[in-house]
Formats: sequence, C-alpha cells, structure tokens
Amino acid sequence: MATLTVSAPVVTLKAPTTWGSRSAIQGQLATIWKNYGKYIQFASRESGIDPKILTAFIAIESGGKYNAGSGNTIGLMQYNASYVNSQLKNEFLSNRLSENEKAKLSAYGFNFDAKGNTKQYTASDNLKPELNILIGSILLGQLADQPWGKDANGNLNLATMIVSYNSGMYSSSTKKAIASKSTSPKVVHDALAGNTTTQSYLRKMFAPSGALDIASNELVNTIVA
Amino acid sequence: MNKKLRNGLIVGGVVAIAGLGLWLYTSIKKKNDASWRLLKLPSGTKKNRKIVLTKSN
Repeated sequence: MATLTVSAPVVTLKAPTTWGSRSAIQGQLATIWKNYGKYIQFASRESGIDPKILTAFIAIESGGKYNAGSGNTIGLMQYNASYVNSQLKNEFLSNRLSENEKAKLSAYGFNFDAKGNTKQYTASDNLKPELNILIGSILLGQLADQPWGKDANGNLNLATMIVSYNSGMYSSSTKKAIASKSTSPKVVHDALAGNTTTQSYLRKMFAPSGALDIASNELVNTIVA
Repeated sequence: MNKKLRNGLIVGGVVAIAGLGLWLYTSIKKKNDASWRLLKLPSGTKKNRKIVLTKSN
C-alpha cells in the first residue's frame, strides 16, 4: 500500500490575524473530535485519509458547527449538496465505494442502482454530521486521486486539493495551483495572488499554529485512527 | 443573385450562427455545471493508498 504524506507546519506561511489563538484552536479541534470523532474515524478508515486532516478540514470549513453556512453549502464540510448525486455516482461507477460506505449510505436511504443512481441528495442531508463527514471524505479522496494529487516523492498535494475544494474544480485558482506543478503549500499559496480567501484557507491549514500543526502536536494522541 | 437563393442563404446563415451559439453556450454551461462530475477517477485507488500527517522537521 502506498503511503502519501502531508507535512506541517510550513514555517514560511503565517496564520491569518483572524485565526484563533493556539489554545482556542486546540479547544475547537478537541470539541470536534469529541462530538464527531467516531464519524471521523469511520470516514478516515474508508477513505484512507488521516483523521487529523479530516478534523482540521471540519475546523476550517465550519468551526465544527453542523449547521454552519447557508443554502446548498450548509454543514460541517461545506460542500455543495447540488453536486452530491453526480459525485456519488462517479464514485460508485468507478468501483470506489467500499461495502462499509455503501452500507452507511444505505442507512441514510441512499441505495444505488446499477447505473449509480440513488435518491435525490438535498441540503437537509448536509445537516447530518455522519453523512456529511463521510461524503466530505469521499470528495477529498477523489481530489487526492487526481493526476496532480501527489508527487514522485510520495507527498500528497493537499494544498491544491484545498484550492480545488475551496474555489472549485474549474476555477482560475485551481488552474494556477495545478500549473505550479508543486506539492509545496507555500508555492501553491504564492501562485494564487489575488485570491485572498483561498490563500487564507491554506494558511489556516498549514501555518505554524494552523489546524494541522495543532492536530499533529497537542492532539496527536487524541485524534487517532 | 436569385432572390430565393439569397433569402435561403440568409436564413441558413442565421440558423448556423444560432446553432453555433447554442452549442458554445451549452458546452460552457456543461463544463461549469459539471464541476466535480468530470473528475476522472482511477478505480479503487483509495483502497491502495494511505494519507498520513507528519510533523515537519
């Protein structure tokens, strides 16, 4: 089995001034784990993504509020509900859904026919934490498995995954991130000049006292697979 | 030029331009709407890789 790594913190990035204190973020991550840890563990096992990364995503996307956001992008992981049916269909038809994932989705009424069709996913489904985290992990897994998702040294291109997740697969920022041909969060960050929103996201994730730094230090024995 | 032929060419041209415009519009719309749908996914890959967070040196 191939192991892809994400290294943090990235000392050349600085957390935004709006980011909380180290202790505040530690508390937020711990609360997320306390409330949703068993769901994160399940999603982590099935997607192969470190639970600390999933927890960090939830912290940045929603602060751990299950009903954060509005409209179709409500929920813990803030993805757009209107795309979920086609995304799950894609995952199903590519034989990527595990039996455990199928069973979990079925528990929420999402049973697939041979063509990968299932019942309509709606914004209200986004409010179900277990379902939200599972689907968020599936979407991140889809990004991780893109041709640009890793380098020859086994480094995951989490920075470009974040750009795509945050700004859209076909956004100019994603094109710039991919064109940088780098898995370095600093290089990807600098390629996004003008997009302060996504740059800020990258800094919250990778900077010293960012979500990954705190998850891999203060919470390394708490957030476990 | 024959009047009928001229009118036919005008109508044909208008239809061709409209068709091209419609094709361009639907192509762009499809690309934008597709978002994640167009991702090509290698089969079963996520079962063959593990993503881990490590501390920087």
